[in-house]
Amino acid sequence: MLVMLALAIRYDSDMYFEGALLMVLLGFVSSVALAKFLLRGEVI
Amino acid sequence: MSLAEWVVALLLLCSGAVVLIAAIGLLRLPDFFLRMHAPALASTLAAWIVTFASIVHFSSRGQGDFAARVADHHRAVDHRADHDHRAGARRTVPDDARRGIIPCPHRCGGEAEQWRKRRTLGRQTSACWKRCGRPCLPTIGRPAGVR
Repeated sequence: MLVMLALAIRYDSDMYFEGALLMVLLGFVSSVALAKFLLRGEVI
Repeated sequence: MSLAEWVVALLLLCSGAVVLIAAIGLLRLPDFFLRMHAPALASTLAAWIVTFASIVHFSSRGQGDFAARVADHHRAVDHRADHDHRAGARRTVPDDARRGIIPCPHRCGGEAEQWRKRRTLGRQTSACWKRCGRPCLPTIGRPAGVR
């Protein structure tokens, strides 16, 4: 994600931010799923 | 390189250093929870620094060099001061937007300055500075002796 932001600065483009936003969203969801799995043994 | 590019480069280098520290911590910390906790903090800080770098970069895009902008600003200020000096310095005195130039309430043909005080209803008027020079203080109505 940080590399994508650095590439956005390098190529002077806004579209990299969309990809970085998606990556952060999936990272948040996956960390929540991992935390729930560690606490309960099941995700949902 | 302009100043914005220097700032962006410095922020990106700081972010890279922080991410490197996070990676070393992820390698060397003993426990699972330590391995999760400390690199998460460091990489969050790195994400903030990269975000600031992108803010600086995309805010200064198309603005030109910083020194050239400072020179343009000084030129504009000098031009405005010169214009004010030619138009007469007294007209440009009011620093408050609520102040206004009115004809003198004493009907002498001069001008006075009127402004509204902040927490009162009436208006206050300054001394007429052209002709009569009397302090004009009619907050409501006219002063005594003036038709």
